[in-house]
Amino acid sequence: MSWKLNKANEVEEIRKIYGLTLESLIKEGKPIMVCDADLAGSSGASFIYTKYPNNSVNFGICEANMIAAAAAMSMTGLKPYVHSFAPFVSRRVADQLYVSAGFAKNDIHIYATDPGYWSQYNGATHTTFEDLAIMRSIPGVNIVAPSDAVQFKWVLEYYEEHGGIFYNRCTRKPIPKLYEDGSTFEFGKALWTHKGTDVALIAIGASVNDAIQAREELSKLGISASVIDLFFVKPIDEELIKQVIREHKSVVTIENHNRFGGIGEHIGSIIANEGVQVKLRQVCVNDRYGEVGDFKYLKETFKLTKEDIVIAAINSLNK
Amino acid sequence: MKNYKEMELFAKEIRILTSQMFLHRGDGHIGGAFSIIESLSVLFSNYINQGKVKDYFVLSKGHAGPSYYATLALLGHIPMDQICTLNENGTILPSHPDRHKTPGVDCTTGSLGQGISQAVGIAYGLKIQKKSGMVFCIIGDGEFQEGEVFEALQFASGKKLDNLIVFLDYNKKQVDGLVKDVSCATNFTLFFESLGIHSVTCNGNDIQEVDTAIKQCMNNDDVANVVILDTVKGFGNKFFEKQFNPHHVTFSKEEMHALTESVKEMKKG
Repeated sequence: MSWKLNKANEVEEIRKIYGLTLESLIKEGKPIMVCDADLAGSSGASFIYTKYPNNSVNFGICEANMIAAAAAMSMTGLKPYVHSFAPFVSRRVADQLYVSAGFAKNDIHIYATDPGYWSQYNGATHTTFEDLAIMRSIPGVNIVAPSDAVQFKWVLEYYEEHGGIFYNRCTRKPIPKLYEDGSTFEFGKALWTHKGTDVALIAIGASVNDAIQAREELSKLGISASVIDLFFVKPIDEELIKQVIREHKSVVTIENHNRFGGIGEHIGSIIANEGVQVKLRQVCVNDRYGEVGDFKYLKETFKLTKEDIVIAAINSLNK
Repeated sequence: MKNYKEMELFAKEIRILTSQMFLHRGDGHIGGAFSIIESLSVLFSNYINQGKVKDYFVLSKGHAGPSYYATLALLGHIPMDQICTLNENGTILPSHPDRHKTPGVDCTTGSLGQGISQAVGIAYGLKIQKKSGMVFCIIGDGEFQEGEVFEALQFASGKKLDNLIVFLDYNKKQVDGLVKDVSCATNFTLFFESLGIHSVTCNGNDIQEVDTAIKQCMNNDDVANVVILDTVKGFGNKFFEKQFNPHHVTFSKEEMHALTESVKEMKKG
């Protein structure tokens, strides 16, 4: 693992990286199959379908068939990369993922886009605040929530080399580029990006950026915060978390996901198992359905803003 | 290559062994396991290669596992001393096929609708990579109610999967009764025609007819193929053929007797 934080103030569109990374794998002669269920136009890989017809297939609006068929396709030597909006490749196809991918031990990479509030104007039907809970409970499924384009790209390449089942929970939109190009990561390892002494902010996905901003606010208040980019929701980096909970006075978890079955619960169970006396506060969705709106509105509505993180951190330190 | 007589004999051996597995166990999905035995005999005698060219067999109606296991045991894939361990603790023969547990099993099935999806995925993977090999997949007429089957058939048609033959076990019965009552009567021929899929109907319990139907579905370029197997649920045992619903049976004394007697008769004849 060799990563460096990106000092430049850049953003990168994740879906663009999806298309470009897949194209470079195809150019290298890797036997990959890019799969969509009528959302190729949204995935950033639409040009693959015209340029590389032997490496791409559109299933039509048939997500259940896509998951089971793509997983079985791996038995013929192909590495399938499927994409859809997160609800349609998690809760809609839970049994196909369980049986044809998980239990059958086939390979599949799932780019689950626009999870949580990222669904914006598509509203509750397209919002997933429960996908981590579903996917976490299926044995053998690796769950990643990249915080930027560099991590996202690393996952695509890691899967091509090693296979397995990857649920890649990530937006399609431009988000800050946290790491320098060429940074490398490690399977199942979290990143302690910013060191502090009072409170540990443990976040996933684009929320890592919110945590970094909250850290700056906390610093003005004289509170020293660490930021941990969890990256792997499953397998979770227990070793690092055990160290973090021992070295801080309190822990705040931040996730664009429901309280039930999310990272907060998992980290809470690690704290309890270790018997460490440390207060935990969860910045998460409190058992609600999604709704339409812009990012600002949705983040405020579901209490996932950097201000919510600051408040949670202060509360966590109060006796 | 086996001739019709040899395939009939093989079907009988499969039925005897399947019966013995059920007798040992005392219960099982006898109806749907028996209705496909002639197809298993023909496919595994003359069509499924397991050598350099690898063909795939997908039992999408996974509950028919016992007759599939009997077939694989007679072909030497499953050790004969394991064959009567169906559903026992720690067995290699679970009720529904598991590709990591049972030697010779290609696909993990049992959740209805998923086997045919796996079959189209394998067929597409082979075709796009210009790999030889056929994919044979058996689905049930009850299973046909799963929306995923329709999804998979659309894909098979749209992608012109001519390396795939789907077998529809039209045995007309499902757990809660007759298919036409629980769901609806379906004109399968018209259904497949509407999707642009080539279909052939045959007496699915007649070796010669099944073989002829398969021949009519092999080497048809650029079209997916379906064999509609007109079958009798529980075929090969008069007692279960007449039973209103022999989908899954926990055998009574009378049923155990009927099964034991039919094994004796088959062994004699």
